Amino acid sequence: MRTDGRNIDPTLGILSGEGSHQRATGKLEHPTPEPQNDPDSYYGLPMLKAPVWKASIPFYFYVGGLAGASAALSAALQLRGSSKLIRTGRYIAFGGAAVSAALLIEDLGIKKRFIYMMRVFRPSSPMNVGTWILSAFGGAATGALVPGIIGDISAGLAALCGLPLAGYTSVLLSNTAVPIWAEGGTSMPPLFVASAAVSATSVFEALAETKRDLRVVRRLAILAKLSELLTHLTFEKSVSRVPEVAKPLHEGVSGALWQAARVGVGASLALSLWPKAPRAARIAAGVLGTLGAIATRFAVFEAGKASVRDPHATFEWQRA
Amino acid sequence: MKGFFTDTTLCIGCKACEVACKQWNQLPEDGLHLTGMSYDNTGHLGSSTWRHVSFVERPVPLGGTLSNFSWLMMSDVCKHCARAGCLEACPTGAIVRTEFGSVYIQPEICNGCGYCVSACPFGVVDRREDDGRAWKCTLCYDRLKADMKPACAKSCPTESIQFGDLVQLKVKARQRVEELHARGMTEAYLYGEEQEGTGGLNAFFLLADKPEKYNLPPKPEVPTKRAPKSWLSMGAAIAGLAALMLTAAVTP
Repeated sequence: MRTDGRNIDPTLGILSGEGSHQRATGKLEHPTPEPQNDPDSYYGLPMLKAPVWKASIPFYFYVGGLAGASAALSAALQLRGSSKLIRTGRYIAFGGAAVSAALLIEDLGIKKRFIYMMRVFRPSSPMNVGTWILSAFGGAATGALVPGIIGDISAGLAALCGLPLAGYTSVLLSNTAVPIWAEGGTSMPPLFVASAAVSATSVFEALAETKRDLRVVRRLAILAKLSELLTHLTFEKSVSRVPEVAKPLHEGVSGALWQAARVGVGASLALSLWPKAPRAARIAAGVLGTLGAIATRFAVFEAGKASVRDPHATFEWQRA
Repeated sequence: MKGFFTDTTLCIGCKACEVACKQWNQLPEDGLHLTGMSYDNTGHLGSSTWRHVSFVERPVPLGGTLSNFSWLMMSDVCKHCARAGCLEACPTGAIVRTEFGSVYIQPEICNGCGYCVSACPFGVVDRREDDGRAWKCTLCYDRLKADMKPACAKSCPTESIQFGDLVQLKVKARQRVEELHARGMTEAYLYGEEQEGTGGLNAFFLLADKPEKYNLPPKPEVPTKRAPKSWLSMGAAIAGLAALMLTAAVTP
């Protein structure tokens, strides 16, 4: 007796059909959700398939953004002359690239096939383009650890790759059928880039030691946090064109995360604006900013999942 | 270019297509459970369910009939879109277009990234968790290679599922709509034979109610169409960030 749910006697039949390679353990596919009495849809069932990505993906959005923006910030600081933070930024970029790759591989259905991502170059697939960006960034960030001119040139390249690394994930999300992600196609990139800037400046702000470093890092941290708060509003406004689409930002897990992100970044901004803040306050600002940035990525991710569960979000969005 | 024309007004809900598909392709079962949604105990298309018959019970008559109740039954399948969201999103090149115009996922290439699942505007593609890869209807590529009809079309007892050359199918489908209109079923229309957002579906339908009733999107669009705007927006955002960092770095 086979346990793969096929009911084919191997002594009588051979498995050669197009679905015969499916490794089935007998575990059934996702059950059908409870039907609803909803005459305007098909028993209230979701029309789309829910994203299959796990928490490692939104966490990658944060780590990749942090690494990319840190590389850029480190290179900018280098223009000012020597600073301890330049090296710190390079380490964050290198470590972030490694962690990013691990998080992405962790989410794959077949992990050992991760390298297939680089079989082709495919401009139509933001995920493929992103893999190339991350690979280039990883290479440059590794080179940036070498002392001397090689390290400096690599650090410059890492900065150039780091900026798109911080932003492409928003294009990846909006290039889907998920209503809230698709509708936010132009308002999500500024949000993700601002969130990446908050991620990096939060860490730099907590680690800055000299007054000279602190001045520039604080200035950037304040601007980044203001931008994140602003882009939060513009994203919410843009997806609110169709009320059904924006719903997940106001309710459930995604709604709570969305609010938490604002509170975190807002509180962090308030601490950054404190002129002669003690070191503890700067660290608190860094922690709050980091938590806010993480909450932003998870909120957008969870909102997408919620937006798919409601068939009316898709229907109203397409009819609008 | 080959495809399906599914005339839902001919469907009797026998599910022969579901069974034939499972058997021919040797797909694992979905389990035995009752959903409570009319006679639809399959629920939705999935990684191991490549045909799905939906059942709608309406307290309204079909045009040209006297009964005050009507059944809508539709055998759903992958649409093999002319511009396929899954294919354009696939980062590995596992999803390809075949010589028959169908969209095919190569299981030996797919690494289970899950991008096609979210990129499909019809909710067709799914990743099987125990297998790790994405699966969907292949338009019976093996049968087409041997000059045979796909298993579902072959098994359909009422010719609700018609397989053939797309140009001829479209002519036939338009004639069928005219015929139904003449008979008083004025609500009959074709779904997807031409479609702006997807460039048209290689598996299109004749429906008798709005698409939402059958769990079909009213105006699907390949997500890639919106990507250039997103890339531009991202470009502007990172240029802004770079400018900000440079300005901050050069100010004393």
